[in-house]
Amino acid sequence: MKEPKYEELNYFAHWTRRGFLKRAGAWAGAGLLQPVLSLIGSGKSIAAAYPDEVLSIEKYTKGRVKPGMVISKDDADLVKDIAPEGLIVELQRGGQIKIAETDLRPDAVNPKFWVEATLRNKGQAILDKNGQLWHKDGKPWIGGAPFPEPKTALEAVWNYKFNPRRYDDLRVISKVIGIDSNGSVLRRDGAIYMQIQTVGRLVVDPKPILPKYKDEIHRTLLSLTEPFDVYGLAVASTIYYDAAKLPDTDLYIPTLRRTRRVPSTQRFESASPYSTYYTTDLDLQNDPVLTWSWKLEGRKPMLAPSASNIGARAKGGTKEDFIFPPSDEKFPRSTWELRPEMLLVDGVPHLPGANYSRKRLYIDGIYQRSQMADIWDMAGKLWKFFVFLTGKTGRSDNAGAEAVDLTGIVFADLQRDYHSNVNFYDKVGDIDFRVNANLTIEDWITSSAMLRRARR
Amino acid sequence: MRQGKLLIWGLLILFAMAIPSAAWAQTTIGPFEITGYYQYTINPATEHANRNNFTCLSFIAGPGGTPARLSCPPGLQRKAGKPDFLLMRQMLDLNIFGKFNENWSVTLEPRLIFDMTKIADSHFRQYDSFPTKFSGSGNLLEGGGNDFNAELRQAYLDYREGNWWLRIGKQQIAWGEALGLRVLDTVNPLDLRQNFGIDRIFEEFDKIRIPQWFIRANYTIPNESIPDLTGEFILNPGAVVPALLPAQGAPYNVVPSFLKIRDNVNQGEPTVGGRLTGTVSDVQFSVNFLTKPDDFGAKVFRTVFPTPVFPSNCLFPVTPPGLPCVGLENKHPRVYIVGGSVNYNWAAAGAILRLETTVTPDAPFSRFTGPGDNPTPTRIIERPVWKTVLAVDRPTYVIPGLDSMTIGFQFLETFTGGNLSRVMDGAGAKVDTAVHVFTVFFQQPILDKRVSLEFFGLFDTDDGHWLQPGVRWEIGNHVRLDLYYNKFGGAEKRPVSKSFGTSYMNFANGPYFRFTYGF
Repeated sequence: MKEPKYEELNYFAHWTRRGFLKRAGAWAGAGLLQPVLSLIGSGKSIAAAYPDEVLSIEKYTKGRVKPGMVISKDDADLVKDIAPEGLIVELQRGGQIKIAETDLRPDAVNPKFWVEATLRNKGQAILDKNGQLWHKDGKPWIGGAPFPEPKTALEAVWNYKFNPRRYDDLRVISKVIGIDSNGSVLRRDGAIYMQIQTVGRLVVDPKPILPKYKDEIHRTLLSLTEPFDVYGLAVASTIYYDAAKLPDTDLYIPTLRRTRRVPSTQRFESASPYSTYYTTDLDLQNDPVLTWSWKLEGRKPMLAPSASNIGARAKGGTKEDFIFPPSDEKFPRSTWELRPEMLLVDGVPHLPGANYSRKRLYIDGIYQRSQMADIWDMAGKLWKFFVFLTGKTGRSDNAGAEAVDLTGIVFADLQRDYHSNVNFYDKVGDIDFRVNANLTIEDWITSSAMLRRARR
Repeated sequence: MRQGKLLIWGLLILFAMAIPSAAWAQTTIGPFEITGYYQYTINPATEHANRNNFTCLSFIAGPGGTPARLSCPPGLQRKAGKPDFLLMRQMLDLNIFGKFNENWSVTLEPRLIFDMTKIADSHFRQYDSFPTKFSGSGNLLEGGGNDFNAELRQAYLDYREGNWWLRIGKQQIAWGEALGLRVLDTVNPLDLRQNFGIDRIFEEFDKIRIPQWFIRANYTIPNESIPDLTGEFILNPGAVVPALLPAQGAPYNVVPSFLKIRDNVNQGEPTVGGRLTGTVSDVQFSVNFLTKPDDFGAKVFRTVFPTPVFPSNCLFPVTPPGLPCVGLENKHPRVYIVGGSVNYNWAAAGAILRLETTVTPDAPFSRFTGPGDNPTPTRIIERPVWKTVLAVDRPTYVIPGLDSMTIGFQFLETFTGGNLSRVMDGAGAKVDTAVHVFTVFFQQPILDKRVSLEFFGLFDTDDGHWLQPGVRWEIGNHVRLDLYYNKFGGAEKRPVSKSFGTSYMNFANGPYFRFTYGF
């Protein structure tokens, strides 16, 4: 893929220092003054990697937008050039965001052990001619972001998709509210979601591979808790390491009292009434990497959700706090910040039934993680906007630090003006949130495990 | 009865506890999660009266010198003619799941049913909506009266430790790949008392599979070559429950009114089984074994009741005494079933292929003797039965712009060996060497999956069919509306004389309206 020239990138004016460095050194090709990774590795601030202008939204917008400001429909135009298209639509319809200072911590939305593995394993990842990720010794990747300085869209997508949640295993509790264009709550869904990484494991033994599942990348389990007629329904997915292969799906269907294998092809349709997201949209991008084609459309400073959005984990949080508190509101308030380098990665699906013409993943150049996506329909009209908010959870990551994970999601269907807003909780019933907790596939994500853990 | 009342009050209290906080999620009380639903079902009658309820025998000789069959309305109905309703029912079903720690949990499913059919429709007499005339009926843990039934439907304890899983108690056990066809899924008998199991087909046997007292032990066998290799052992020590049929006189009665059947169920006969499941490459498999008393049993002649002394006449005192009545005994011999199943993810076609098969070397049948259309079942014989189902499921985009349609296709062959002359099955139907049945299932979601258009069709190559088109509408979190229609035809319409004792089901043609409120 041809890399866009520096001049083509959508930065604002006066980049004299950057322009100079571009001519002087290779790093400027990625818009950097010096490599971010070496700064992280040496424990220095990554501020030195970027021009001052992209580290301060106030400077960047020439004082028009400042930290602490609340952006709404009245002043959405102020951030039009640095926001995803979908966010502008949301703001114009009544959404509100608060602006924060740029967070320069490399581990603000990634676990520290992940960042360390990224540094440790740098340079060891390769892509074969099909675009499949491997360790240079021909084995599956060993963990951390494989391409910390991505030069292509595919590398950027692998950085995110290899392990979108970053943990060896995790179990989260979510509640989804379906809201229509009038702001009326139509439906509430509850779920427990689990993911167990089978390769690239960094904390929980055996590392880095579960030998028995070496042909897989991870397994997931979605166990529904509401509404009443899906209570106990469980969906187990086996995601293969071969990123051109669709997952295998097994259901436990309470009505049938047994597990049932089903095709995995229904990826572009809603899983439940009123929901605005499809199977393909979970984790922003849920299909295997090579079932889509990817193109890097640019790099630029952009707004993204701040790590201060801790959602339901904030005790007594209100909408005035702009932390994505649980609510029945159509536009939960959240805090955003200017990220100095965002990769604009466009994906085109090549799967039967795909009704997206394009999905744009915004992948943070520091975090190598995506928190936003715009989606266009087959006619090329903007259709959906998704935001995945990530922050501290207050729970241990069992690797010596506090776990950071999803705290909220907005799935917005902009054409119908419907929302599916998701909040994450620490505990529901007997199930609690946990990561790197030695959750095993045999205990949780097999047909027999689903059967013995059936709640109905 | 005191126990029954106690159970009812307990359930009502639980229901009252559940309702107030049902606005969000299941109700949680301590370690217990409570969900459930209330359901109101109306099934108007559209055809004629069920002939099983007013078919008589006469001493006046018919063809072959045997008693002729008469229509003697109102028979077991109070008034002659087509009834207004086949079913009007309220149901409250709770699921109480309590998890005490990572190892122990308990599940309870109390269920209340109020059958209002004969209250709403004066055509019917006060038949028992929930007959349990067999020894060991206490195993059902149910009580009530003619119209009301309170049941502790499921009650089991789970223990999980490492690779072990143990479930003890009254439970459903479902095996196999086929949907709506009982090939491997024969561990539990069926409760056909309310509407003979012709409810919404998509729910399969969930409402009518009779939970039984089982010890179910699973062990996942550690190995490197077969993922999820699991052995399962099940044991019901002998609390036997047969398939339960509607009472004579009920709208869905399938036993002609001139028959009086005594269900001879021997308690203490264990049900024992096991299976091995696992995955090899792209194939999931199971190998199964089961031995149990046969659910439906086979009938043999017991007596002709002398007339006119009560209770000699089956219809007495409905019709004047003098018409003969035949007494049969329904026996439940032990059967041995071996079988297995496989499925294959045919990724290139986006489909799942399924195969399921069983062999029952000793399936019981009734051997008939006597002339003409009215032979007499005199003894039980055994015949080998081999059942095989081939199935394919494939979601397909049929209508542009809509979600994919779920399409399921199944082919069932039932092969019965040996001499089948004058042999009839437990339902009183003539037995053919090979019976072929096709089923198709379509489900097309529309309006963002809020509404599903459904169609089920079962076709017997011997000219019989059951069609069930339907619509399901999901309204928010709590309300579900269902409308579906049952249509029977073809060979199912054969008169009783050609298939002694069988149900010719076209009387059951008609719509179902169902309102469900879940919490």
